Amino acid sequence: MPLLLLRRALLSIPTLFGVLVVVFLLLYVAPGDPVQAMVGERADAATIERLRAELRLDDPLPTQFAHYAAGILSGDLGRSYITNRPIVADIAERFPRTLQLAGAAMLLATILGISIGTLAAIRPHGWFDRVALATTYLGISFPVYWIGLLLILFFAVSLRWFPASGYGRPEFLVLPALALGSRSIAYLARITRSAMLEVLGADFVRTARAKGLSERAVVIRHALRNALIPVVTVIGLDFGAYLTGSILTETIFSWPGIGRYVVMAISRRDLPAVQGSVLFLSVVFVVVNLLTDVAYGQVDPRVRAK
Amino acid sequence: MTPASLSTTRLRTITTTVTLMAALALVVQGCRRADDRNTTRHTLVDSRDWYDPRSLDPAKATDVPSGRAVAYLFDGLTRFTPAGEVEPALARSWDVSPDGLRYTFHLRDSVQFHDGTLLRARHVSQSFQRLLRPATQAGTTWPLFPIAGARAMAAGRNVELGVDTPDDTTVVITLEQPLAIFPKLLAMPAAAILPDHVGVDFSEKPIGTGPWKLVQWKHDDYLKFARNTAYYSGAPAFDTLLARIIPEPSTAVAEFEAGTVDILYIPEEQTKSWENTDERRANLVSAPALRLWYIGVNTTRGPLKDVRVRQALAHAIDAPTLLAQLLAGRGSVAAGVIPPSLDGFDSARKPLAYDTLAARRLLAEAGYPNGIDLELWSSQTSPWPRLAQTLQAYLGGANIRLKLVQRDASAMRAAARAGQTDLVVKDWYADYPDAENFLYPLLHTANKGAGGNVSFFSNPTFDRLVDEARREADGQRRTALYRSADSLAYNEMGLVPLFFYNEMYAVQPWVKGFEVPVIFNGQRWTKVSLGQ
Repeated sequence: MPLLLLRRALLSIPTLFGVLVVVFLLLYVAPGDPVQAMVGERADAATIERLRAELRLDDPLPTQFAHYAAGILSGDLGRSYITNRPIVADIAERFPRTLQLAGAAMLLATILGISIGTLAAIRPHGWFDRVALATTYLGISFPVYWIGLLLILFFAVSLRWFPASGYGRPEFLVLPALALGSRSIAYLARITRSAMLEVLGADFVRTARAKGLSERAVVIRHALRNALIPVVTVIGLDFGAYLTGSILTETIFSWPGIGRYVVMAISRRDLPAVQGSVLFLSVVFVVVNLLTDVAYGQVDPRVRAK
Repeated sequence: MTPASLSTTRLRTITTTVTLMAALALVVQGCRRADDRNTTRHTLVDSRDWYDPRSLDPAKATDVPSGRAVAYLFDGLTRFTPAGEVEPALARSWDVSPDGLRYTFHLRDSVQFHDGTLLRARHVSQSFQRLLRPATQAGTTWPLFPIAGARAMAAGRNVELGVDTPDDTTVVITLEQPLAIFPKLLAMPAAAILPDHVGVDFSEKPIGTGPWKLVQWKHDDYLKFARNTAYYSGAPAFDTLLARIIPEPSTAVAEFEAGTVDILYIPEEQTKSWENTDERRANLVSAPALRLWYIGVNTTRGPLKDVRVRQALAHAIDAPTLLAQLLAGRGSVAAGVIPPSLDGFDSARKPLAYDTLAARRLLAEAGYPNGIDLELWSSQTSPWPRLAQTLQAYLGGANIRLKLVQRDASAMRAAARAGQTDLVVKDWYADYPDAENFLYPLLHTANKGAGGNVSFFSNPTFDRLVDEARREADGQRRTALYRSADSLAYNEMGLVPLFFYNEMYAVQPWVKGFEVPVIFNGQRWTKVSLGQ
């Protein structure tokens, strides 16, 4: 297993270098001038020229790239053109909030999704199964944006149970986590259900029942554990996606996370901020994928043995 | 599978879930009671910022959220009232020499910075030099360019700046040439007065003389200010000002309806719904903003060089219907660039009538009987694409065939400034409330391209009128010059003005004394109180 992890980690280095190059080039190809964004709409030409020179924007591209890559290797992501704050500090401030939101969403999704899926599979085509199938179908189809607004209108404006938006005490987390996790809840429930249905019909389950084990032991200890592989895959993928791209949820709920930071940086042509945060998020994605691989081993000993 | 064991399992699961949820609800209720944002009325919560301020260092405050916050924390020699009048701030009064070149500002003598140090004349001179020096990397330096030596200093040359401090409370400023609106430029964020020691973390820990002190800045979340009880012209009436950053307009509306924010900017598309609902309408306040929506017409490209073609554009657009349908009638149709609330506005000048036949005739006279093909650029954010599509339909009716190009705002602006657009539909907000701030940047030869004149309009008579107005000390004569310049530019159709926009806010009933600011830094909450 450690060897596998090491190989995976080494393999991700070229991936990350690719990300570095692509992000760097994309922003130069994209129209829009970073200096214009810095100085606002009404600067004189002399100021613009001076800033371009100071930021070395007039250097040849390879020189700029070398300069940039050297900074990254020494652990320095540079400073934002717009706010002049160090990018590392910006990410350190925002990423934990995104981690918190993604973690809560995933926790909610895992608990609810697997429970709903399991309960639905125990008695297929029963009333619970039917209701679960219908609701999860809606959960997958509705855009997170719409679900978010609906949650706000119902729980914040009408019932006033939770704050509509913002960041702070635990109750601020409930609605955004629910909105962000809604798709995963639905998806996990459906995947768990179909995996469980398959496993529950398998020979070893019949053997377990024949041994006289309680239904609870059969379902949870024997069937569910065997049905978890596809579920873990989905959890890993969704968690990675939430950590790097919960932009809509963060926007609707005024959640001050990394997604909004990246979007704002792009719209302001804040080159160092975009490059630094995209690179960071790529590392996060790679790490989450590695962790998913580790989780396979925990769930299924056969993977460990390989 | 025994039904009995299954139902027991299910029952247990349900019981556990219900218990857990009840516990959660109790915890949440407990938290809610301790919520200081909502229950007390010592805090005013503002929801107008939709992105994090760029910087609280006045030298870098180039955007609206930064400009607002800088107005809370700092003062200039002058400041704006909500109605957009310039009034004395750190300067108690000022005199102007007869030739209009020397301004003598008399400072108030007991103003303290937030750290307790006394304001002295040297602070003015130091602050201005700091802004201009290239090492500061200021975003906005031009408000001080009228001062003798300022441009050279900004270019990195070692020169004497025309700011003298004969004693602790007197500042004498010498200008390059007379500029009547100079006191207005000193009310802009960039001209704020700073204390002696300005460290590298000044943006995070700003110290000014303003009515509010910074308590906490949680990036992308909120800025919290506490009132400056020692403020020289009357401390604010409530303790805390919370500027929340809410990127999504619908969320801000929900927060307002839940009673958790006190002031709300009404999004364009929601105007009707607020005006037509009784309980919502009761909260509305509105005022004409210093904001022009227009089509920049590149007067150096192809058929657009001909004034008749540019007039045809104006004739082909039904601006009153556009305003009513697209902007819920929030504003007035423009026949020039000077907004109705500023001196120089001419109510007698009428916009060119919607007349497709006249438009076609003008095109034919200009030598284009079969019409013309142009590109219209706009940004991708609402409501610009819709406006662009509607313009395409109107102009199509006069045989002016438009190809729409949509880019994000910064790319659109960059293209317009580089002269790559035929037509570009955009807006212009005033930096300071004066007609000059529309005429000069939008249409003067000196500002072609990067300066804001995306029409690349250049007319010697217009330039002379505006230059003269900038120097003219007499208010009435200056207004007359503004009016003539505006009239000339409209006849020449240097750009196609569409509408002047109205600001519209909803304000909670317990907020007393709120006046809609016509300029972004005109509301400092010093005259507002919170009741029941």
